[in-house]
Amino acid sequence: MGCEQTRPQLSAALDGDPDVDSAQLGAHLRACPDCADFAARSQELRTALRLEALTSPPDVAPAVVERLGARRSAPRRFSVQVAAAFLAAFLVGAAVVASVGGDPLPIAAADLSTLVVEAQDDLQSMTAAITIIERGAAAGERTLHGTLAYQAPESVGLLLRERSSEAELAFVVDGERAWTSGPCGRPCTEPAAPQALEGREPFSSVLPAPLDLVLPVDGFALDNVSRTLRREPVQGRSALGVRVPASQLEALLAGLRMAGRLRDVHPADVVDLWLDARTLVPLRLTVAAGEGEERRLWTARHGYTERPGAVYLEVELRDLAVNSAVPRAQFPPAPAEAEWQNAGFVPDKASAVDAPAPTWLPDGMAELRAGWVQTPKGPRVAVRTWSDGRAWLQLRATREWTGQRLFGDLGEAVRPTDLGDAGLGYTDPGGQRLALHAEGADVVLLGSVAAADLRRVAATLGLVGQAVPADWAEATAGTVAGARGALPGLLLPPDGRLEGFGTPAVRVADNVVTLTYVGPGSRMVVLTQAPGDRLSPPLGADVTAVEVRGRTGRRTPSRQELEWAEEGLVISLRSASVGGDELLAIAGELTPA
Amino acid sequence: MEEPDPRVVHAAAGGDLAAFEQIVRAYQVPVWRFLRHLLGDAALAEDVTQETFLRVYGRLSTFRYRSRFSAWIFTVARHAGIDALRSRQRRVLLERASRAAVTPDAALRTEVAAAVASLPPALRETFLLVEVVGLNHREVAEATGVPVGTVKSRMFRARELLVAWLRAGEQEVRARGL
Repeated sequence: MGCEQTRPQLSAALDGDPDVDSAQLGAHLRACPDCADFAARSQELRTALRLEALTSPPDVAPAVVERLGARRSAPRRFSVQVAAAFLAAFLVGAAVVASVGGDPLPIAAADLSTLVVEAQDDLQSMTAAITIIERGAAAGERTLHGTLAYQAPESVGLLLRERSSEAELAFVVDGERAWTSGPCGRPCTEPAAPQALEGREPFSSVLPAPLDLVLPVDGFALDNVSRTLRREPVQGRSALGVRVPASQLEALLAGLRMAGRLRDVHPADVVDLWLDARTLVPLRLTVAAGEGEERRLWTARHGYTERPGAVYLEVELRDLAVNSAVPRAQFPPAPAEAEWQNAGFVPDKASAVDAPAPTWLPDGMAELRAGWVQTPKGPRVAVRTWSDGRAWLQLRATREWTGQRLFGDLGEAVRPTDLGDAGLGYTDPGGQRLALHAEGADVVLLGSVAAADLRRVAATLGLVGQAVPADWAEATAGTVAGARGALPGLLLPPDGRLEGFGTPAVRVADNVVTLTYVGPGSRMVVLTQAPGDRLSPPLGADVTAVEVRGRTGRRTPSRQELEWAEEGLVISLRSASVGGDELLAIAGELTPA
Repeated sequence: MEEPDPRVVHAAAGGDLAAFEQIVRAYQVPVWRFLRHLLGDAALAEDVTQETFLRVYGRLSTFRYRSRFSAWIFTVARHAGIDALRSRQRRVLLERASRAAVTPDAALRTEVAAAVASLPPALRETFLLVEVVGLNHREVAEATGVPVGTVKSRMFRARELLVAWLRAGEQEVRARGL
């Protein structure tokens, strides 16, 4: 067979044509370097196209649904089992394709964020056996075994036993009460008195129940990145694998740390997480040490010993049972010797009645505990909560607010949001807290529901939100367009959006523009720009020179900051949760507005 | 690319927008990637991706499972892409395409993407349906309305042209001593 006949056959064979005589083809290829080159390059083309980097694929779903006329006009009750089955089916194909190039493909279509948020109301309870292995800290390798149990709305029990010392550790949240016990922490290994808390607010953000251990809503609610998903069995269950920075799973890891007295995790380290394909409950995770100067400093500062790339935390669940009865023994009361504190919440539905009540709630949400809390040196705050499975919503309201900032701890980086007839609201950059400053009432809404649902609830409170007074910290909140006008030449990411982060909160004050980008979990980047030609003297002792956008800038690992001067602007990128190399990459993408 | 759960398709065909949204989310990026290479413009591809799904929604009730759902969606996407270029808005779209060319889509600046963009339209769409979308020859034949033999010969000609393009690029680099 000559080259003329071989190449069409080669092409057909590449596409899986069963009629091709592969033995004859193989013989020709071994003898003909030219045709072998044709075959190799054709394969390269395939790999390049199928493993093409997804820069910023659009999300047309909202526009399509809106044009079809009824986005969320009726509450969505799309069964998560159907959704997960769909995702799983889609991924089977992806895995097959992935085997062509050897590596998994970026499955841009897998909308993990939506699925995780929607899975919440289908999760009523779960139990599993759990194993945690920790390395790299002073205690050497530790192995902990135990159980993890959850019962909606807010009971989580994580009961562990350390293999070497037989020490018992526990972290239990059961509605109004919570307690924790175990060794007092590194380097002390003696048991300390269990610490217990009563008068705990429902869905308290002071001592949150580790709900992300049972469904990582905080970790994925804002996740809009096309990422690598794999599909493989974990403990005999079909699982979806995803790789994310540790900062994204801060809520999940914090729960584990609290229970197991575990070592710290660097926010930029790599977490491989496997979620049960049907329920999206986390089944397995590993954390591997990252690289770079910053990470080395961090290791040294903590006295850890892991090398870059080493897996230093492994967690695995076995015998997962979802939505079956959970014995109360999984949420035991605090031991008799516990030291108690009172968090100040007084359950009292009657007194919360004068707090605003929404006339619309996401479908299935039922009212839960209500009452009030007297904050130290602060106002009396009415608290109302609603939940549906793992999903929850909390409203806090006060008529006594005297602070010079928005009520509700949104931070200074806020975004004004138009609530139609309900006036003006303010959200944190992630859209997970929404505050209203209204006549005679200051209110904040927070929860695990979608940002759109939070806005809709806020719009039905019967309040009209006003702009904050000019002397409040949030009065400088602006828009990207306003920032452009205030500072000509302002550097922005393409389209003003940073991949993996939401719409930024913008502050413009005295020619200084600050854009705060928030991503899933605790991922956050702050970009500050001001007129100027040179950097001010360094604040950290560990300054190093670094090339940024073709200029010499400086990096201060201890402050997790990257700074440089460019075209009449002094620019700073800071993040406590994003690594230095990622900051450099973000800097590289910026373009003058 | 695998198939959606038939329950999802059925629910969407019955007017369940939440189910349809799942379909859009599952397929929008491959559809957009296909259209971006086909049309050579990311922004235009986004518009046509929207149009594709509006058409898919309107025709869901006619889907009869005789072909793979994914192959059917890309048939709709292909028609939407061709119509977009032919439509009366062509001028507007071309203007936008030329604006986009000023700041070229980063992914399209790669050698491979440039090579694909150089293919004649019929070869390009066939090649993309196989290599980006992953359809087999029979499915591409159904989607493009030509015999399977034509699909095979188009694939071969496309590969010949692309390999020649890549080889020429390397020779150019060598000749410049880079």
